[in-house]
Amino acid sequence: MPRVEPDSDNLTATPLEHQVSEAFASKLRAAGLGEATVAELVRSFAARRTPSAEVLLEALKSPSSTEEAAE
Amino acid sequence: MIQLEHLHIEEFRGIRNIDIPLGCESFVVHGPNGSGKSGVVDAIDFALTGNIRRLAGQGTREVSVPQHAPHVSIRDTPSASSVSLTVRDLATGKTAVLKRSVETFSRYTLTPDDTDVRVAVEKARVHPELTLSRRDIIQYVVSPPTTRATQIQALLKLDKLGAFRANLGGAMRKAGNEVNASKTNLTTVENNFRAHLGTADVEATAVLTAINERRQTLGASEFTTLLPTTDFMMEVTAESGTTTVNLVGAIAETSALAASLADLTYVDAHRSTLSVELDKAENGNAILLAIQRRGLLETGLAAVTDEACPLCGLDWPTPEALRAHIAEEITQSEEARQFLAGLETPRESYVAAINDLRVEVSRVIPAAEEFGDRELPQLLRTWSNALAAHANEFSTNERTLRSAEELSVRRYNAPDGTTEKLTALDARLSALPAQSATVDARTFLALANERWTQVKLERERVEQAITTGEVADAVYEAYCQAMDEALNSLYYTVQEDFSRYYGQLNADDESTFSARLTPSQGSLAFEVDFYGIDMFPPNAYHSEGHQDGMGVCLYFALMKQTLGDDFRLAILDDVVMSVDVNHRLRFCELLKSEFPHVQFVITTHDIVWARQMQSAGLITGKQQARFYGWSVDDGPLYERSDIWDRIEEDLAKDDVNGAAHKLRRHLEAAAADIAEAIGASVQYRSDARYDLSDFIAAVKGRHGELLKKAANAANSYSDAVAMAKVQALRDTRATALHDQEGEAWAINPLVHNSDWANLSVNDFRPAFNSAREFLALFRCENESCGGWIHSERHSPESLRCDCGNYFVNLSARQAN
Repeated sequence: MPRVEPDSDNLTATPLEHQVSEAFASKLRAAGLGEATVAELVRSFAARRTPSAEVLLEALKSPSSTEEAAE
Repeated sequence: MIQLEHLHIEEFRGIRNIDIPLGCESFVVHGPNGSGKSGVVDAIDFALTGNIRRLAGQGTREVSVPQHAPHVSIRDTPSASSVSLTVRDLATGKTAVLKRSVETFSRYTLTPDDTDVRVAVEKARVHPELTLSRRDIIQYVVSPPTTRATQIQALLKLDKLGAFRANLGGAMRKAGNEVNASKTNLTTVENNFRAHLGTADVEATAVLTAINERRQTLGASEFTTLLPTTDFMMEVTAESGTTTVNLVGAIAETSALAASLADLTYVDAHRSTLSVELDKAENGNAILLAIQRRGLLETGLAAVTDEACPLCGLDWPTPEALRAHIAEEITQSEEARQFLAGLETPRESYVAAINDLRVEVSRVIPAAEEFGDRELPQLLRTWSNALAAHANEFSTNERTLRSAEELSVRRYNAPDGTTEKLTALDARLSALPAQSATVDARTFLALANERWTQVKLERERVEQAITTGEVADAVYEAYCQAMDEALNSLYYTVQEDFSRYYGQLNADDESTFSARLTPSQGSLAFEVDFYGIDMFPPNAYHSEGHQDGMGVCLYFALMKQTLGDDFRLAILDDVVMSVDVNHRLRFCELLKSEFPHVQFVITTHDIVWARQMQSAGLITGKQQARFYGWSVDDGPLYERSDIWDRIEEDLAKDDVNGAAHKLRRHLEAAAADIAEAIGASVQYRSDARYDLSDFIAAVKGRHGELLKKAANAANSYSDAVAMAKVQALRDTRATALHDQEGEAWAINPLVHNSDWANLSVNDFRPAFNSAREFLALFRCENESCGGWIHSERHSPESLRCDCGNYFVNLSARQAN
């Protein structure tokens, strides 16, 4: 899975972004996605530079994402 | 967050050199239009952000900070243009001087460079919306919903949320495209497989029947189930020296290709449909440009990390402002996006038809190599390559727009001579003796195995694509829900705060006012109550003045949401003028009650507004600066509280000319202010070019009249204390006027513009002292007040200051 590293700018995330991040993670788990994928997507969201659609799609193609979703 | 203690401006915009003691309290700069007030706002904006909002945005392409921020007289020397702000970090109470020069406008210095103060300054730096101009306020009210959403999301720092959603949506669409593409490929290879097997479909029973028939011929065991691991050649031994071409299959496929070549109308139909769709674009190049621009902008939006635009390198005030600008540009290419969405299906159908033809061509090549004319294989390869290249030209919408002209002719025609040689091959294959049963079975199974492998591979790809698509859908849905819930909550709070502020501002007739902010798929609908009748767009029935009031209230609600307790500073440039004249007091009360800890720096060209703010207790008499006029050479004509110290500084440097110039300008400003305060009548001049003597004469005359009235009033009451007080004032006045009249020559500009005049500090000091003494006649001695005394212009009843320390009764006792 292509990993997106958050950077120091995440320290300046707004309260609303924290709120969205937590709700996003919770809904991903409810949708059946596993912790590795949830963590990766939350990291992507927290990254200073929003990952492109291509990078996000590659992340979703990873075996862990699809296997978890298929379970 | 920071508040502003002191502002020093040098050679910036319309200001030459000015100091304004802001004192970390609300402050008003007032003066007529064109007196330089906005220069103060620009200076604060520039110091905090490195940018000037007035020089950015629509219609400002030709102006820039480096070129147009310095005073026009030093426009080629940006290093001489700078702003210094003494700021206080409210968390620690520490202060530092933030200085920014136009020459190095993207950087600032902090002295001392304290970490706490720097953090607080940075917080202000990323919020250019701390400065609000009159033209800004209405944008939130009357913008289209999508533009409003973009602007408000930028203000609330929500653009990142939107960008992530957009990219997740992009990932979801790309996943969907991959599903479609893989399904198309699967159909192609299944058709290929089915054609070889001679079956109606590729279901297990039909496949196994065809396979087992050949395996039986070769004495191999039959399969009872069809699994992904099934190898049709299992137990089948190779036989050297025999053909690998299955004659029956080759004849069928050669005949099929010959038939297709003879009638390509099914490809023509797809080409025609695609052409019709492309013709809907009035200007394909413009669409292409918009799409290229959109792609570039989307890439750029994702690449924004700081103030520098990743596309053009220009510096913006903040990354958020840059993102908002790019997002707005993307919105404008929506029409092009919709056109492309309509192009998708006909484009894919045409490409699929071309690819089907290519598959037909490529599967005849082995037979052509073994049994055809020696040129035929190369002709078929050339044709196949041409078809692949042609399909590739239409593999994306962008390529399709560029390749539109390629549709004017049949690019999928076979090379010359192919038809004849293919017909000859067909005839030759048909004339060949039938293969032996074992050869037929072996070649049949070998080719079936090859095509079965392709089918399995494509099936795996389809499954993978579908699963990825489902994950992408689920992730997008989860994110949208999370974001919408958070935004709904946020907008509800904003809507409630906004309604309360606006209701408070219009308590006389709209106290039960309510509003509704509704976010929906990247837009933000805004409706307001109109006198309890129904909800309407804000610009439907409310007057422009009320809309302006809404803009201000919405700004406050948004800022409260954006900064929370950190909303401690706002610079409002002539914004209060938007508030209806009947609601001034309520506006002041709103600021005092809802934002008691916010330092407002307010400019207004209406002196009544300034007095209203003072009366309401929003500012004190000292927390204001009045600009009387402006000139290119000198900048604002400004009455300032620390003028005496500054003149002393000049005298200490033996700069008599500088001191005299400052004193004269101060007297001009102060005398104009006093004239208005005490109701002195200055002789009207149509060119408005009043001289200092005009004001001084009027002020002295009016002051004398008022003290005479005061004496009469005291006498009418036989009030000995009052009589003594008035007499003391008249004595002081007599002395001050005597000195002032005797020394007035020393500040005459003619003196200082003449070579023969070479005044020493000692020559000048009496003029300085007399001027100070003269102005003191009109000033309250209470330092916390410090305002000019004032009285009614008509039927004056008292001469007084704002704090009450100075009070002289002017109303005589009425005779019985």
